[in-house]
Amino acid sequence: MKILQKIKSHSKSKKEGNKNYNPLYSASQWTLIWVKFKDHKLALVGLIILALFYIAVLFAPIITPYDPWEDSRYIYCPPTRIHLFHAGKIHRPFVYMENILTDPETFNRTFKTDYSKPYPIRFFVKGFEYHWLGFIKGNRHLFGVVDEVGIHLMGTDVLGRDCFSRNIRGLQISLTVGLIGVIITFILGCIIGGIAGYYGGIADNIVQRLMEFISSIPTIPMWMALGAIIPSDWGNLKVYFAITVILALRSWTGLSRQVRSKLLQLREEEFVVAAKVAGTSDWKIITTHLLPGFMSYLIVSLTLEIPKMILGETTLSFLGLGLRAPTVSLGVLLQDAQNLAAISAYPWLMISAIMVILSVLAFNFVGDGIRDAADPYKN
Amino acid sequence: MTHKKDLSRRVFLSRSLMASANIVLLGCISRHPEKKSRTRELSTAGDGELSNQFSATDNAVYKEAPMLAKKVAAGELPPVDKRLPKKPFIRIVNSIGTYGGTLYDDAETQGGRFFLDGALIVAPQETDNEGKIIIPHMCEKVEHNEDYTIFTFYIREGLRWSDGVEFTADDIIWWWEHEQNNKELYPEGPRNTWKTGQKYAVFEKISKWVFSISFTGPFRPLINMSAHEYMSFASFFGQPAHYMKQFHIDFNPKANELARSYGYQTWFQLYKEREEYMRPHAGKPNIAPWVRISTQTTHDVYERNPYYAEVDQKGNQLPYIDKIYMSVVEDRKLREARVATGGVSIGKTVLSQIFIYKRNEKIADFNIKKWKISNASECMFSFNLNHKDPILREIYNDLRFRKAMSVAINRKKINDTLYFGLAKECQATIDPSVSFFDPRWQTYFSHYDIDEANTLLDEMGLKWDSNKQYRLRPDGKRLKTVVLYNQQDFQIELMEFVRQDWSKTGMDIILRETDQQFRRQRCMSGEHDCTCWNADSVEEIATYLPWVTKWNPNNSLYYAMDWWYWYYSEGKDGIEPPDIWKEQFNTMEKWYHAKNDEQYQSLGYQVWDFFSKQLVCIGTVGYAPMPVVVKNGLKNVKDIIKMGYGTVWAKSYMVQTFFWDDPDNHN
Amino acid sequence: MKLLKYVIKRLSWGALVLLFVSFFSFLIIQLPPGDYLSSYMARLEKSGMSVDNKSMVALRHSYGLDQPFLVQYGKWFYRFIQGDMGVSFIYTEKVETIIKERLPATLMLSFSSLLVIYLIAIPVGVFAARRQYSLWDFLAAILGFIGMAVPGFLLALILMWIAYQVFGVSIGGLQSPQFMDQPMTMGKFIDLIKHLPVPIIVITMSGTAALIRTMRATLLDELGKQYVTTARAKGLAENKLIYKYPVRAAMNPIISSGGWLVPELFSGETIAAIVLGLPTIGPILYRALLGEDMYLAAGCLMILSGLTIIGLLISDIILAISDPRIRLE
Repeated sequence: MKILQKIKSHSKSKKEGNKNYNPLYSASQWTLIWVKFKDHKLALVGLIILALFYIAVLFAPIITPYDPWEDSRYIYCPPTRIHLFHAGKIHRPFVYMENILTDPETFNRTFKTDYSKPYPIRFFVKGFEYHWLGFIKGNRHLFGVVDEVGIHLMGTDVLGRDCFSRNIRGLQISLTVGLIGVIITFILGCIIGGIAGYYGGIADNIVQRLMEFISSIPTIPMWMALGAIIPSDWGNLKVYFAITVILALRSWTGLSRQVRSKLLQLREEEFVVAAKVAGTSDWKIITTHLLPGFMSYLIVSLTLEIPKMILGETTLSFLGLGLRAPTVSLGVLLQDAQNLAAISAYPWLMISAIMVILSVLAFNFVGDGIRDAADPYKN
Repeated sequence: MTHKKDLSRRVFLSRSLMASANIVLLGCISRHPEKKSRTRELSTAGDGELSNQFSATDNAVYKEAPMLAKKVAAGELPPVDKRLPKKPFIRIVNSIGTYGGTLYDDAETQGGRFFLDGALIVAPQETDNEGKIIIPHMCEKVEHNEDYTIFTFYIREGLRWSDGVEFTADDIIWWWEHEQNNKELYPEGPRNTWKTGQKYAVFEKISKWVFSISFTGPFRPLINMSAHEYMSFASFFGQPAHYMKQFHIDFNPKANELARSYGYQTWFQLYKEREEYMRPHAGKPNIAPWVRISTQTTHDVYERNPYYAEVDQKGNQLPYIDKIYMSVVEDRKLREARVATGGVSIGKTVLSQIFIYKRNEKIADFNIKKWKISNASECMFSFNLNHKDPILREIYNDLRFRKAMSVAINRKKINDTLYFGLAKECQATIDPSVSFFDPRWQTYFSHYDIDEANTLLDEMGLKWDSNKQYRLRPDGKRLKTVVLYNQQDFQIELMEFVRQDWSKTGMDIILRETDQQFRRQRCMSGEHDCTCWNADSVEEIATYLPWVTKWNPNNSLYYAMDWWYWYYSEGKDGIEPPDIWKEQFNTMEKWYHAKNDEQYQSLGYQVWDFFSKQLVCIGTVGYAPMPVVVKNGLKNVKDIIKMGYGTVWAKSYMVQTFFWDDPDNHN
Repeated sequence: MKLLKYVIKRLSWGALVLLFVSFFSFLIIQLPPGDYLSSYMARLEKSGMSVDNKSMVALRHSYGLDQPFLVQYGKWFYRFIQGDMGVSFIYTEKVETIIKERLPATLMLSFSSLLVIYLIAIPVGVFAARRQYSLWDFLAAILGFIGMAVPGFLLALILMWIAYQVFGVSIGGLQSPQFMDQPMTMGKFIDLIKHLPVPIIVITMSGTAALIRTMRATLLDELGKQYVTTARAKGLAENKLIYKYPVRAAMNPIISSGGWLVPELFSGETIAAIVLGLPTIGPILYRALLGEDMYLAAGCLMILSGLTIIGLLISDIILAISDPRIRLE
């Protein structure tokens, strides 16, 4: 906030002809990055998308009108149409009742809209119960309709489950897998890369061979092999963490390579020698003197690893080697969409793919943006 | 039926002769006199189901496929009448077929089952699609003595393996002596099916084409087994001795080297791989309509067996179709997509997406036939009666608990949502066509009444917790049950419905999907709470296969492993079952060794009445529709058929009578 | 001479890496409880057969499946270096026969994918860099992003469906079953060509997108450098200018990153092959892992890693040849 004020006053003072003072000169490293970041239009878009997604994920039980596991008789319904005009007059947003007719010969389903009665969409309605954040009990939802009709913003699946609720829940898993996986990557990458870069010599050699070894096994076969180890009787939570570890086992190499090369460069710098002479421990040197210097590079790397993890989790679940039903992740949802019926008749089932694509793109844009913003050599 | 006019006089005469003979055979599978009306009317035969034992005269004229005729002309094969046995099996077909063409099918993996694989199973006898009638097939006759202790098999004289060598009683005897009784191949003796009490059956060669199997006690089920996969030739019963000898150390001193050249370490590893019909081994002689001629990791090719012992009523040697081409497609979704786009000649559909197939009918050039599954229950649940936890054991063993779980299931909802209302909502039991069937078994606690379920559980003393959400065990912990299951053919969403239904009675149900192997291991060591499987082998013939029924406690539902171990080891292992169960096992044993029809009926009734009242297997819905898509132009495919293991899958569809309208377009 | 030393050094490191890979692969396969025989028994049971436990015990012992892990690994490794990769339980063939059968298609697809990626990405990248900020650049950027974010296998079924509807191409595999065993004819060749586009698109999508972006970025970097301005000032024709120096210089990081493209290609090919039913090593590995067919799974992992190492080595050699700076290191 202060910086914005300063910048405003700067432009004002500029107009007043005071060219000498630029608050940006005294702004911290992070503010500088943020200002440059804002210029990058795509990155901003990405950030907004991510913000929306994470908010949706945080408030998942509240904004979704239905329980992701609750089935209904509205099987394979297309997204509910929201109307504004009833019998020629404007009305608050509402839905009509859809009657499902099954042709006994072809089993084809057709929908007959009953235009007689509008069912208004209400807000903060009572719905299924949930434990928000694990302990706050509630049953109010952002929007909904009475029980006789359904409001399915993204349609329903084979058991009549609301795709919108399922997609949001799936986003929850997919987005958090990325975050947790990246934390593990960060820890692994820093420690191993740090050791290699700082101590050099044999440690460096061993680490390099290790990285070579891991990169020699193609990614997906390696994930498949690791995914096949997960015992089939593990509960969903355990499987979830196992998947994050498996995904991280691949990505730490990239990060540690960066850490290693930067450390190799920097450890010859004078300030490091000075610290050593002063008697500072190695650990302190690495953490307080070296790491902050290239923290921005690390953040860029990490941000760019998250989409790979999201794609990785999607791939594994898709192959049946990752998360399984009844857990809802975007990969599991995409399994349901992988059939001819979904492609030719129920295309709304593939919205999960769009969620994956948007998340991946958003993270990539943001990562690019941070990288461009943090690079001091770019004009 | 039009074909009747085409039948030659010989055939007509012998058919009426056979009609009487067949009734005698049918008498072996007896039924109450009142229920005789269920017998298939022989005179309306003509849909490929029954045949006659027509005595060929010396001037019988047989015809063969053009591709074989070419080989005969080139001197590579003997003429067709020398290739067929003296009395080939006559299959009455609906329409006489045209030779040629290829059938395309997909399998999940090498050596895995595929839609048409039943057609490759050949046994001494065969059964019809209803699973009620047994007629001789590769054996001309199968006789037994009064008390079912001695069975005599008459192999069709002149029957040959697909490489031309004669199939004689020697092959059976060789198989028994040198394979089943070989200590390295079968360290603890031949398969249990050949045991009565403590003794193994005695195999004896009577003449070149005749052999007998003798048991120490009555063993009626052998008739049933002889029509089933359990006695499939060149697999579980008999081997082409002249071919298998090369892999056997007693006949080929270099068998170990041979095995090593194929990548194995010892001879019996290689022998075992060549033993069963499903294991890839092009080159092994067979007596099935088609023989595997090439195997690659991507596909298998089966070609017609020049010595196949069946002809149609006009003397054309079967099969009509030249080849079966089986592609290996690992991914299930891809297989489904291929069926939906006409990539296979005949294939199962995914019921919930049936209209897609309807839509594709033109572009994929197929039509839909409304077949059904013969399983009496798509999915039945069993609780582990031998649970290690004494509290759960007590709860699961309480009949009120099982009754409650049964009436808590909303079968109508499952039927309507997953099966378009076309399945049958019923309790799991045997098929109504079985002669000792009691209709009350099918409706036993199959109604839907949540209140009744809750009342029963209340009576048992299982209290609710403070939130009135879950029921508590007597020790205060939540009553949690883990249902272990693996991916199967039935709709997996069914599990979710049952879970929801049961949770309305306060049960905390956790569904855990695993793979088959894990489930099996877990259940066999009795460490599971609840598991489920389908109810197949429920037809008259299949229920009587010894211990094959899914109600057997050590079969796919594993509901009483410890009791089974006790019974099986005669008291040495396991845990002693309660008296009623000891009695039940004994009754089953007696039933399998029934001396006469009366015992068969009454003991059979007792066995299944007990299972029904005990509700050890809680059924959901059964007899589900299973439409198949059939490429246009493929003829002699029945419009209504029941698919199931009891009738050995494709074996009862009579694949050897299929033919293409225009074979040249289907190569 | 220096090049030879470099190659030998890399090869010996590669062999050491393969040793670790072998240990890792075998370990991975052994970790899940049970083994192939138990899954075989479970499968038999699923199709209704009750299984004879006793003969399985003997068989398990004969295969050495009841021995400790290190013993099994040692035996397998000892045979492996002698060329005996063991036998597959699922396919009842020698592992080498299976891999030999599938290797040509694997290599062909990887190689053509690599070609396609370079043939498309480089011109498009150069074009986009030259017409920076124009509509073409923007389009290329969008394509790039989509290619990077859309997993190929998701599109696989959609693409196959479109190919089926529009061109009548049968779904799955590289060849319709009708042509599989036939000798090569015009019909068979056309069928093969019809089946190729979908797999290639699925495999190369993300790689092409990434390479377009990299090409564009590095070329832009080069074009911003001093010598380019000098050359322009000297009056060198624009086309000649671009291709003679900046593009050549920009190609170096492309070629070196091409090395990292190799494992990505094998990786992407694996999943594409599973979803599309291609006759490559991918689906075999998938089956082997699910069925605990340990020799086959280990063998496939070794082959894929071996190919990766060779691929990386080749790309490093090409880089060493083309960029004299590397050789001096």
